[in-house]
Amino acid sequence: MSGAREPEAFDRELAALAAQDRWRLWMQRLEAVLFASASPVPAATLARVVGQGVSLELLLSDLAADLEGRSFEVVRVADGWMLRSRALHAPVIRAAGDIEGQRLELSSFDMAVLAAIAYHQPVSRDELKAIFGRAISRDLLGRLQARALIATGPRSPRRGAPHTYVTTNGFLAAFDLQSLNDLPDPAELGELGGSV
Amino acid sequence: MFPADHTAHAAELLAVPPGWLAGHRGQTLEERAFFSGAALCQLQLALTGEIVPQAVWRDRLALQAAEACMVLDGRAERVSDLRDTLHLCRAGDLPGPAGEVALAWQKATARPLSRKPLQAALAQIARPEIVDCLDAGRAGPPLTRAATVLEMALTADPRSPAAALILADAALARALGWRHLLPLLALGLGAGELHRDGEALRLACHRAVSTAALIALRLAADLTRRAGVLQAVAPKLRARGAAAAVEQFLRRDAVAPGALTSLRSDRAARRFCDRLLALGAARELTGRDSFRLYGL
Repeated sequence: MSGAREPEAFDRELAALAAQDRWRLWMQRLEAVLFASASPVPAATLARVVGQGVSLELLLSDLAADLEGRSFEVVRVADGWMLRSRALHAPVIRAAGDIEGQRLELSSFDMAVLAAIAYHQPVSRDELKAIFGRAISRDLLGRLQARALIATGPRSPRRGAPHTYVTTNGFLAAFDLQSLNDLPDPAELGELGGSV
Repeated sequence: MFPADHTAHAAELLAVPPGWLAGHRGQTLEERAFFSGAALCQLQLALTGEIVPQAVWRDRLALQAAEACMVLDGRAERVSDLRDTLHLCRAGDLPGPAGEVALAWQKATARPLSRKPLQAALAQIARPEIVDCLDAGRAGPPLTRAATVLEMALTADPRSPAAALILADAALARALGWRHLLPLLALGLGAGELHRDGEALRLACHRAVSTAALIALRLAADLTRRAGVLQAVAPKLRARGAAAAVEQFLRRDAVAPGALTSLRSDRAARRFCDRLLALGAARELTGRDSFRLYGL
């Protein structure tokens, strides 16, 4: 199939192991998969590396308990999971400075546009222009897209079929939201200047 | 297939419930349960007969259910917006929050009811383990089961009323032994009723099902009449691939000419749709001059 390498076969069920060892190995496998991925891993993908029908929820909550007291934690993002350093260590990580290329590096106007997209999605460039009273550059939208915070949504049924923009699961991960319903109520955002 | 006039007559009969059923909802649990049971029984006739075009009926009900979820969520999208979203999302585009809900309803109603497809349908709008809430509704009368599942799912994930309603309607369909899920609670429950519990929620569910069953029956009758007209003109459609195209109209809420690939070209597809309009066998659903969508 399109030259993709067949993944090596591995023993999912681990039937030969004692129940307790089996459980531990499954937890380690989940940890390894999460560790190796920079973005949230969908639950369906995780389910493929543990035994058929085993409760992912239980395994992950055991893993979370295991990571108690460590510098990172397992968190849920949208329909997936990821390992993330604990917020407590944020200043240290920033001071270490070795995270170039991972920082979002967004200006406050970038953030305002991102917020407008989050609240009004799917929203086209024209509609963003109406919200901000000035044209939003393709550069800016490209920057948000390159950081996987937004993606193209359905097209508008208008001349030229312009794309709309929507937020991604990466957006949820970056802002520690489980779903869009966790966005603050726009009515309560008055004190932020009402720019969204 | 029945002749068109016969079909239309049967559909009319279906959609007109006995006078004592229409407009009565009752007050007490006993009264409401009586009326909801009667409404479901009437609805069962539409489900089991071969008269009603089942697939397009469910597809359109799914879109209406998605609209009801938008209202619950305080979003502005209505049926026409959701329909546009589903048809204007190309490969690689994300559907956005409203589109996700519409897709979830569409997937949940399209395939015969079972756990795996249901879980897949819900994947983008709620946590995957939400589907376990279905197990809560294994005992008791159908609407009690549905109400229990609704309550469980809303407790497990209060931020996704759409997922909870899909599961509650799935529990109801399963309790009634239906092959497919029909959105009833989603169409009938108001925002204020969703967060009730115990008997108050059961009361609301009975009323919701009575209301929604009659809405669904009216739609079934309308679609049956329209499908009858389409099938009557079908033999006149001589374009190559016309039969497969007609099939699309009987399956889907709306069809974009570009999706009628059996006709082999965009131009042929457009001409086919224009011909259906001229024959009165389909409608243009958007009212636009471009990006038009056609359906029964």
